[in-house]
Amino acid sequence: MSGVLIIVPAYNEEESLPRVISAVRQSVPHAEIAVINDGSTDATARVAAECSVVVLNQPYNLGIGSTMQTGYMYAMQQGFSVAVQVDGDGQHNAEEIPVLLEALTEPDVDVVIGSRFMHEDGYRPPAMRRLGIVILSGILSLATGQRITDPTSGFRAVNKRTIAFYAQDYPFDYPEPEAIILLHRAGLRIREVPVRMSERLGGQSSITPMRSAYYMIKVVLAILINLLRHRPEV
Amino acid sequence: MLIPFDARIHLLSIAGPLVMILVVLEMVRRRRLREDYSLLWLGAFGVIIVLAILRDALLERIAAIMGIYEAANAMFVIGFALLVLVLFQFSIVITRLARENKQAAQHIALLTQRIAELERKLD
Repeated sequence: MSGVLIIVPAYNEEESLPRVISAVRQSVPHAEIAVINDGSTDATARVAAECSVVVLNQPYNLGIGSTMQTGYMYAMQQGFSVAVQVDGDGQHNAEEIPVLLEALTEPDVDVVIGSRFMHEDGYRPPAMRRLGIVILSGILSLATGQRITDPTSGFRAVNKRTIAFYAQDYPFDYPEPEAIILLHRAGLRIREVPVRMSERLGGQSSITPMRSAYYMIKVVLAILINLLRHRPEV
Repeated sequence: MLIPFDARIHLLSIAGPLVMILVVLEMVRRRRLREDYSLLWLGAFGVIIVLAILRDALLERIAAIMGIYEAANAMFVIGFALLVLVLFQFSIVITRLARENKQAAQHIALLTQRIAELERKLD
């Protein structure tokens, strides 16, 4: 099989999942959808199964990084040529998936990242979060030699080479910024395209001040350590 | 007191680790502790016993080299360093276990879906 797989990681997203899935179906009818249920304690597994999409149930909570990687492992196993990751909480606009897919067909692009900050009137996060994003985007832009405007965006489309790479090597938690460094080190080429995102449809945001501080320290350390590693093989 | 004050700590620092070595060996014998993880413990307690027995010949000299006046304090520093070593080994082992655990869970997810898919095709 070759085609497009939409990977939807979901942890306790029973509320928003049906809307996310039907929105994805509407904008990319030819794509297959795989929900990766990260050990949810609510009815996520049942809700996903009722939507008749592929459901991969992890036996317990592994975190977002490992959950995404399970999706990429499935994509590789099934031979998909493109994979798109779309959050199960409804923050990513399904109508913009074709924008990502379109950009992925351009030459010299292996990964397309939907960026919230490329529109003039784009999303303005709260001050502290903006500071974090500015720091990460500064470090990543320096490290990769290309401008990265939205390092924490999880709205991404990747080609077959990248699917194979991710199935081997993907950061285990807070994966988005670190994945950019991994891609760069592996010689995979990144392109950002402007998108708009919405408020989450349901469920709980996982962001607290303590976690944000830990997030920044962990991610910056991970990026620096990655620069000291040998280049990964693709 | 029959035993002089100075000799008590000497005896204790030999008897304590000796008991622990026996406990570690017993745990290995009962397969509650793996041989490879017991090695660092045996090594740590072994070092402490040797230093306690050779207090005058070895420990006092090491203390002098380290710039520590009391031989007992040198024993604390060395014991602490050995514990740090064991804890560090734990962190490394836990990291490996977490990775293997993650991979096992991912494969369970993939295989369970595959079984369901195959069953669906059979019906």
